[in-house]
Amino acid sequence: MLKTVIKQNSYQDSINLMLLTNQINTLEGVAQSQIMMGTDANKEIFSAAGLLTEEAQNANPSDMVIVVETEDDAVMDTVLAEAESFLADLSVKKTASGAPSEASSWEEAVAMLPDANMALFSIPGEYAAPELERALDLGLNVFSFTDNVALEDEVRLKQKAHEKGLLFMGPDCGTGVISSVPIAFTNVIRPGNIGIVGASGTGIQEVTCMIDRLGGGCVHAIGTGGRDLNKKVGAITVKDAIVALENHDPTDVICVISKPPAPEVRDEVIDLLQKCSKPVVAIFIGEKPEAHLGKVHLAHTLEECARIAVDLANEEAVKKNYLVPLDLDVTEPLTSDKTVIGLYSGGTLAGEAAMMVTEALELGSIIKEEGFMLRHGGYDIIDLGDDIYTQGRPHPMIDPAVRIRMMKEYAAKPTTGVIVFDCVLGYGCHPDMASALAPTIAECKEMAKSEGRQLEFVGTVVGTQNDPQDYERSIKILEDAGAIMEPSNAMAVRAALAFKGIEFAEKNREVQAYSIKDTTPLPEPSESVMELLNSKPRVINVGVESFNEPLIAYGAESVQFSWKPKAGGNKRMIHLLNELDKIDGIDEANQRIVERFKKSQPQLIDVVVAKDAIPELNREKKTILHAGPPITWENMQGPMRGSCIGAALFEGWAKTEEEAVELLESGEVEFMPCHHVHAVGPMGGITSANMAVLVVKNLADGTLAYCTMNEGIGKVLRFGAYNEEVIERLYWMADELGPILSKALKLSDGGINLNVLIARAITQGDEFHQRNMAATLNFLKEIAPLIVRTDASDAAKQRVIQFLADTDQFFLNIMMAMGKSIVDYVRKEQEGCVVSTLSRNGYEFGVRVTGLGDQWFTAPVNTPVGLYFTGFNEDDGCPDNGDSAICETVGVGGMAMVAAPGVTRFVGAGGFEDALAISNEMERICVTHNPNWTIPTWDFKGTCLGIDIRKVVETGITPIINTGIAHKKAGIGQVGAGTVRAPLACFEKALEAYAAKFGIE
Amino acid sequence: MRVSSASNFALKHLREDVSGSIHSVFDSSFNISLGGFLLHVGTTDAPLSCLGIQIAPEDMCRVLEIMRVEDKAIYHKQRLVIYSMLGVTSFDLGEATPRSTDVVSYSFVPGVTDTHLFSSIEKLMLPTRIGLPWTPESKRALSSLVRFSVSCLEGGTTWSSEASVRAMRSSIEYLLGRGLGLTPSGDDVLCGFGTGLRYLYGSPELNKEFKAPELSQVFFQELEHSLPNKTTAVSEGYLRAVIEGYANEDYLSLLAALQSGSSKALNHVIAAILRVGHTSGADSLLGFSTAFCYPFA
Repeated sequence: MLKTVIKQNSYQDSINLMLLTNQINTLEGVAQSQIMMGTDANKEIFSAAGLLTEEAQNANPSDMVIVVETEDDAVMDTVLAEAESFLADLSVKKTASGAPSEASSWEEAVAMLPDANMALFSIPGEYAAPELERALDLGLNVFSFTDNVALEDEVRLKQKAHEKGLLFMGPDCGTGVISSVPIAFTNVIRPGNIGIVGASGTGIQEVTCMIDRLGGGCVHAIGTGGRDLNKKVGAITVKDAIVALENHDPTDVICVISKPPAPEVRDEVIDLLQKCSKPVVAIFIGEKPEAHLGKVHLAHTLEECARIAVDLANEEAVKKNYLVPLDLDVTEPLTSDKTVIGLYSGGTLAGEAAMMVTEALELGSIIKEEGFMLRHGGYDIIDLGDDIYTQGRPHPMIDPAVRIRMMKEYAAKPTTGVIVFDCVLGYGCHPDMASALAPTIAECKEMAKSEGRQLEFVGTVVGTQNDPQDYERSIKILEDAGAIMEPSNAMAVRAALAFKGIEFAEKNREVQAYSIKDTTPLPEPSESVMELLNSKPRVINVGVESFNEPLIAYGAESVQFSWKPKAGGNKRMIHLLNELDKIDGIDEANQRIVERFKKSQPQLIDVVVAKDAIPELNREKKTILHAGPPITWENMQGPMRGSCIGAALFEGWAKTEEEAVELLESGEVEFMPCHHVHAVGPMGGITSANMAVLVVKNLADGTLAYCTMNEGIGKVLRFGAYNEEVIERLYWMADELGPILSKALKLSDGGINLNVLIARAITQGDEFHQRNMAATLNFLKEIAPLIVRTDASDAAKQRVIQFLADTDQFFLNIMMAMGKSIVDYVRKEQEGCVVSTLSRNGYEFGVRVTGLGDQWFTAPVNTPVGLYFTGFNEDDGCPDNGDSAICETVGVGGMAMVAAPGVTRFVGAGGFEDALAISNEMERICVTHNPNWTIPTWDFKGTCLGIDIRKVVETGITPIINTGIAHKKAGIGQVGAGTVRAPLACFEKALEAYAAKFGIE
Repeated sequence: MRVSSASNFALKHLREDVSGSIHSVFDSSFNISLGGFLLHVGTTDAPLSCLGIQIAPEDMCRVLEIMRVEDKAIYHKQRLVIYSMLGVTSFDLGEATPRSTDVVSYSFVPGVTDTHLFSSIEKLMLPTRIGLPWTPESKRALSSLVRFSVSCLEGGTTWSSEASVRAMRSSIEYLLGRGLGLTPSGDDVLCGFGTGLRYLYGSPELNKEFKAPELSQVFFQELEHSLPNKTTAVSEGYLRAVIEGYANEDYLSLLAALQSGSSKALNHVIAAILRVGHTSGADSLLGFSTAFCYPFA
């Protein structure tokens, strides 16, 4: 049976997950497993393996999907514990000393390494093209280990790189050396005066390792990707690299290694090489050169290429023949029915083996079908690194499992005479592949011997003395297991053929005159490329974190960009974001918008009866204002309905609850969002004509905003309570509290400056949504002397002051009116993509955006997560309610969690580190900080300002809102407090609309 | 990087298009093995090695940060390129000032020079400061070298000259490669002795003062004959320079001080030489004084 666990929004790179899959597969009780991100491509792999469960099918690209085939129900606990431990271990490694710094965006990465000159990519190919282009736009040379980039994208990106004077190495560039720094899956090569330009993988590795072992060295081995000599690409990178090496002083010899090229492109490259002043050796794998062409020495095998390069580097004459005698004595060749099998981890090595066997047996030309490079008459040469063998599992250079299985399968065949194999060392590879393969080799030989058959294993180790694995030890282990080890792949293949009684021969090669066809001089190299080749690379490592290890070890600088797919891998959103990136002026518009936030000067000026300030409440039509986007009575949750009943009773529209419900259901009452009339209301937000409202004026342009006053805690209207006590309090607030505050405010000098009050209280531990203790006391400090000066009775004054002193959250409603006065001023300029409203009505969460006017973008609201009062639990909580998210809209509340560490435990966020982490996370979706409200516990950084919907969609980080939790039934009131996330869908809808504004489809 | 100066001996032996590797690295200098020649790279604030070239101290700091033993080096078109894992360094010898490290360009003043030298040497108690144990064998080796120098000075019968050569040959055999380190003490003694011998008997115009100055050449011939594979590459490099008549700049300063007759200058130079290596300075001064027949033994 299949067991599935989905870990939502838990991105890990594919290599980590493949390694984890390997580990899980070793657990007892696990028949097989697959752990991957929930992308469409990965779902196909799940399906192919028979592991696509319904849950996996429904997973999102940003979800980690664990599917395990097991007969043991309990095994999943072990699997999950193992997975957690594995991933935790990775995170510990991340923080180990010496580990590079980590960025989560291009902006952060560039800020951390401003003089970066190269980006190293190892991210899924389906998301790569725009990221590669971004790197080029940032002026970075590119090394793309990433494969599966479309050919048309490769052509476009390489042309762009060339025009910008940048080097584009890859895609599918598995190996490379820049300024003696090994990059990706690479050996440690002694530096020297040979410069290499090569396709991408084991071709470079074989040649560079041979050069190293022959006493030579190279500073640069520039990978170009396997398709660079494709007709459409036109060898853009090969040509740029050749020109650069020609101008690189320490390089004395240029060596070109190519996969089978397009003939016309090959000729262009040869022509270019003829114009170089430095000696040149080239190999076009699959070609059998008859002669050297002018000054270009042509090699047939990788070994020969290395030997010619070293001779040229030592200024020694190039020999006519480089065939070195084999140290092998085959007394009796294998019988004619025996064949040679090649099981390779390196594609280029497999290609070379296929070429040599094909030539020796005159079988025509090499193929590439389902991993086979040769399949003829029982002679099979297989590239086990081909996609067909690596989908959903690690490359055979990392994981020996597939090769071990195939060695056993082929060894069991009576026709198999020789198995040729490679063992590739270097960074990124298996830590001890020789020891992993040796037992199988010994076992297979023993089995054949017991059956009276001769079976030979002939191999080569691709590596150097300086590789993390031990080259000499690897050879010895394989020899001890019974393998015949040769110093090169070509010699290994020749040894295999020798067992068949075939002597591989090379004809002497003379120099054939060459006349340069394109006589224009060599182009000048770009400054940027030469700077790259003349210094240690300064790298932004986008993807696999372990690629940092050789970078750091060999003197490069590195910043880890812990890349995740934009928008959680949502292709539509990625498209919109990429298209919006191309639109000029959005950032400037957002800057203007946040300037309006900063220029706001909210002043608490009055408390009035709502209908006197809000015309919509002063009509014949009975009207109730509510929180959030528009909602009907049918969709209202219990607390909001309770508040409406309370309002009807308060206004005298009904005498009983039943009458009130009848009225509200009748359609006689119009429900209208507070936000539509410059008002806001907490929780249900229910505001009716005769309730008292605070009046805040934004002195920036006189914008007015309103909010009811805070009723205190316990049974209160905003949480849906409507008993007599509640209604009586509302009357008192309208009849005594409001008028006295109004009189007091009129005695002040134009009201109370709220910016100043906020700036003061934020240093005293308030975040203004869950904690307003300091702000309320500061308000009381301002208002109490004024209250005393009013002509109200002493008893009334005493009641008002006592109420304010008892109501810790009194300032919340002032904060909300203040927030509304700010956003309604900001929204007057309709531009940019900054959030101007966050609100919820218990049914839907609504978002409005500065550039999109009054339009609401809604999605089903979430239920807060937090702590419940004794006697209540999650089952009692009502989905999220209230306009109080205006606090977060202007950058306080959950956005400023770090300002109020005292609150974090109450709202369930944990300790101070969690509060800090939340604010740091919120910072990532905002345009800037508000210098008016600085937070001491955040090293005096200003509060977050300007939630950019593009950033929200790109990162998948939605604003977090601190909130009270109402009981889902009317009349019970508050049952807890916690946090809630704005749903991503609101922002995605807003992004669609914003993109449409620019004609983006 | 710019090379400030280069010894004429090094320039004579550096061949074009030769490759090699870093041989040894010290706190403020390093040696490169290039086609059989050991090139010393030092700084301008230290005496020029007869095997070497000089670069600015700040350049040396940068180079030493990245250089490792066995790094590849190539000399091509008066440009020395060192390929290190942590970077490629290129030295331009085209602009370097050639400087003479010939010993014979300094004059010996009989009767004055040796008096000066002896008065400075006497108080140093050199036998107690050298790297060799002051054993009867060591004393005998030194005595034999004194005896050989006496033969060059005073001549004598064929028999006695041949006997002194045989004794000198035994001393070479005993001293060559004897001791620890990159320049064993015995080699340093031979270097000092050879330099003294060249200084005393190498100048044709002064040879009339001595009975058999040509005999001194036998020492260099014997040393060259015995040298292969007997000591370290670094020591062998310096001994070959001595055989060809070259010395490090600190010894050239010593010769200049002797020539000037200034005791102050002489003591200053000797103090500097004594600071060379662990015991190398004392070892070579012992050998140098032996050439002057100073009776240590």
